Amino acid sequence: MKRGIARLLLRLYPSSWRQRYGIEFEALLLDTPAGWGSVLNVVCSALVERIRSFGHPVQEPDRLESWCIRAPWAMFTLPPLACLALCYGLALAILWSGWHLFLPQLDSPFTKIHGWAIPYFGMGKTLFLGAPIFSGWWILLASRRLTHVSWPLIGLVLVIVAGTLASVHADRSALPAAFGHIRLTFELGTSPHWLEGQVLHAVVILTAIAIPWFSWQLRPPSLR
Amino acid sequence: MRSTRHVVYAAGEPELGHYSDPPLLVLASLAAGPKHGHAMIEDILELCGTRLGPGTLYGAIARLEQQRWIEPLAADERRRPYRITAQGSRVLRARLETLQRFARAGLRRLEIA
Repeated sequence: MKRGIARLLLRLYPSSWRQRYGIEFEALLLDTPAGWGSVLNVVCSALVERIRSFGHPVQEPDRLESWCIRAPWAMFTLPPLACLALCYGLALAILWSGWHLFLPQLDSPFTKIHGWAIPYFGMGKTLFLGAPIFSGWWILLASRRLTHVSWPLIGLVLVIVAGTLASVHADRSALPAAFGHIRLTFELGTSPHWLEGQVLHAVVILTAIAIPWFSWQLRPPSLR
Repeated sequence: MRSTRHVVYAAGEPELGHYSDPPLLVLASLAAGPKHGHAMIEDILELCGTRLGPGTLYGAIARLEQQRWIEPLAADERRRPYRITAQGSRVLRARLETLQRFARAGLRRLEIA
């Protein structure tokens, strides 16, 4: 196996495991004939070691980690949902205010926009689409040294489901027309392609949550 | 991960699976003397026809070392040999005797049938 591939595979293991077995394991990988079977074997074993390493903190946990260990049910559900609510609230406030600032004559803010309206609405859109991703990052950050993965998983599922089902509606009919009305709903669709779209959305959210984590795990030795 | 691959079968032997208990295979390999990873893989392949993947082998080594059934020796360049401990030898003997009783009982039943 080539040295580059061997080192990349080695980075999938927890750092404590690498410190103990890294050099000799890399030597073994260099002696192993390259092939998908070997790569898959190492990837699966690295995942197993990562799951096992959840229960063996290397250092004393800091305040956040100790709370996550003491009350995981609260730390992996309430802060992510609060983060979601805050981001959605800000996004809706931006949408509502932008509607009145830039598009006061129109019945809906969901239309073609120009000039300063683009970054203004873009800010709200980023917050709306980023809300589940920011919450997912919180979960990954807080679960670094947790003894089990069930609560982080429950938190992630909650966040992803909320992120995929959330949709925004705007109209001027429900209230006096001068105000406009913006609603956030979490609803199941009925069209045949709805599920397909939601699954794709969930995969995008999950990927965006996981990318920083994988980047951190696979960082070059000079950044360690 | 406990998967193994490239199983070598005797000619005409039906492919009914193979023995796959990586920690036991590692202990059995080290019973003949200290070895490093690559030598263990080759020895186990010769012993029972099972080729352990590198991840599987080091997963087993890590577990066995935690249980103090094997211990590392001084590294030879980048390769570190391991040897079985006295406790590991007792565990291996007990496991093999259990397997032997099981094999005898199974063969006896075949003879009766």
